[in-house]
Amino acid sequence: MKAQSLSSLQPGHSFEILDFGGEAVVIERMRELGLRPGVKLKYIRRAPFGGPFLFQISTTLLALREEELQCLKLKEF
Amino acid sequence: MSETQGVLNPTSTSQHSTPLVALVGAPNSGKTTLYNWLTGAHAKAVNYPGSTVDYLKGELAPHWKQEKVFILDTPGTYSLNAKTEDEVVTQKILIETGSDLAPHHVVVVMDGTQLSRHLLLAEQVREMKIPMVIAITMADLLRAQQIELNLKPLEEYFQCPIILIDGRLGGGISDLIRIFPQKTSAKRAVEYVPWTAEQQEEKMRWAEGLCQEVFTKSHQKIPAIWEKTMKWDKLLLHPVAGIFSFLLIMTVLFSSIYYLASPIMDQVDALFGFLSTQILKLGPDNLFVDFLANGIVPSFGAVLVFVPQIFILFVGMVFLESSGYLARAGTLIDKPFSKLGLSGRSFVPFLSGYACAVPALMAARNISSSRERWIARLIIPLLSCSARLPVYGILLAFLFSDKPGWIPGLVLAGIYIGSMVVSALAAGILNKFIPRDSKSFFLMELPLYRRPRLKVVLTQSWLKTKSFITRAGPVIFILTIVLWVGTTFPHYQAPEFEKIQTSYLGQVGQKIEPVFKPMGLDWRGGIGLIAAFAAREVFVSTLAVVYNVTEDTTDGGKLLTAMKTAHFPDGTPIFTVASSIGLILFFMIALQCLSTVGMMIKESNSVKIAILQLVAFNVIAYLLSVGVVQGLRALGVS
Repeated sequence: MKAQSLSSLQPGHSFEILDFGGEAVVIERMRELGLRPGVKLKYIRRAPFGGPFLFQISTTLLALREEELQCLKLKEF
Repeated sequence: MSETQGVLNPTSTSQHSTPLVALVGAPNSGKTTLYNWLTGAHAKAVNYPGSTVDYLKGELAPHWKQEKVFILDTPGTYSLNAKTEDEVVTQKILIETGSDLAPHHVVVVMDGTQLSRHLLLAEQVREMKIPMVIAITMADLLRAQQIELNLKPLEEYFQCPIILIDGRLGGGISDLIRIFPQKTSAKRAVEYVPWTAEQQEEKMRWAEGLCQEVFTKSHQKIPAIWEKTMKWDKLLLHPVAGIFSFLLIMTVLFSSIYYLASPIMDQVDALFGFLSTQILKLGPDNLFVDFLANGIVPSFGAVLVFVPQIFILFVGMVFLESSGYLARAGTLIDKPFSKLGLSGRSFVPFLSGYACAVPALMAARNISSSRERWIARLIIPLLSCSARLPVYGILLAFLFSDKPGWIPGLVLAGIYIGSMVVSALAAGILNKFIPRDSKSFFLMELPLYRRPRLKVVLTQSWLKTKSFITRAGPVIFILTIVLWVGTTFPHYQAPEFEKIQTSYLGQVGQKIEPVFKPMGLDWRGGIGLIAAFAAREVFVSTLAVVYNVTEDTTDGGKLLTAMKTAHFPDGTPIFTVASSIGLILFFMIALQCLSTVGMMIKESNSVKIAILQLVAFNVIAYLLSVGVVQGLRALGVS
């Protein structure tokens, strides 16, 4: 997800992960938390203070920092 | 690590013939609740050799009427490919089969609402060919939504028993226990091969597929379990209401620590004071009696006086953690913390730091990034721990003795905010100097909100408190005795004041009086500062002794009068507005707690850094205090 499109994220919108990119450890932890290409996630809201982004992935609720979110290539659907 | 082994004894000989069952599971998988059901309240925190991470070990509770079995509760982990210090412990317990701590049997604990993710850990255990059972928790939640599980595909794949556990009522526990081995079996050497990225993704798809079979059609009902959590998050993570609730929850937590703990602490204090006086009556001029009354008894008192508030702090934290809020609090604070080179994951150590630096340093182990761990460790002693409170109390009472009570209250709040600003500044500076490492990530899983089980909360808090006592206790105990020796000898038969004046510590104090003079203190105040290294609040009781307060030394009124009349030989008063402000600033920054230093050495594995921190903080505190005292005097404020 590109930086400029982060601000246009709308709560309730759903996305599909197209691809991963970034550091191996972070990506591996993302997989352990249920993220992989092809997985769908729903944007819930942003934490206070302009903090992490909250996403729902099937039955998991994850908080991702901006730079972690940028590791994901997302497509809205 | 031999000293911690000595205390906690993880390798008793009886273990060789007793089966060892390890509970392994992801964070928030319901592992701890299951552990509590199995062992009751009898457990002890144990160290893995060479590591400071605690895990719990206990025996199967007697009411299950089974053969003796040891249960290990390992630190929560998402996979065997560990990424944080506590995950490494779980990895080692499973991999290092040669050790006494290698389990004969593993219970993989999986959250029934998170099955597809938690299956991966089970798969890693299966690949290692360790005898296993799968326990699926949160059965009560699934049942409430009428979600049926078809366990057959799981049994067929894993070739092991699968048990549904209801953490609320204990359903399934007795079935699980029946599967535990009666005898020890030979531990086989196993090899752990981490998955490649491709394998990991392939396994994820497999797990998702298997999950479909398990849930058949009821899979769509799972999101209903989340409805309440989503509603609560709307409030608790709201940009405005969320911050407000956060502040409210923290205020309630801290005020309850102070308000609930202080009467108990006063009782503990009074009890040990009473014991001392009673023992002294047995033989007023006997050195051994004096050692018992003024050395041993106060040493125990110095350790135990901290227990009530540490216990209440742990109760609060375990409660917030098991309710699901702590993960939210970390998420909420992540952005402000990130400006200081920290992350929301450091929130727990910081929270603890406001009660005591020792459990805070222990909590800092769970921070995954080593850079962040260092920043946290270095600034934790700056947080306004509760041992500073009695010191601020007496100094504020002195400064504002004729003012209405809300003024010192407001100033105290100012001191707390000041301590936050100072630690933020220190973190900001360290953030610039410690080189960045690449491993830092936040990626927090937010669990369901659940009502914590009181029994689990109390047991966990007690275990953590015990771990604190066994770690910090000996240090505080020994230092208090050293202090007794220093203030008693060589003229132990002299009257109280003369005894201290001519004691080793008194002589040292008088020799280095020029050091304390710029702070506005005489040698007696200096001794108070030195004595405070045993524990900061010792400053108050030492002042009472060195300023010759007779009778009850815990009476603040008498000490205040003594402080008001204390003067230098030339007649100028010692405790003035300037010197009191100087002392408050000194206590805000100085690292006057040798238990913290001891803990820092253990945690950082570096005597050099611990000593450097000790020297740096105290020098900075001293210079600041001297600067302010002299500055105030130059402005005409004595």
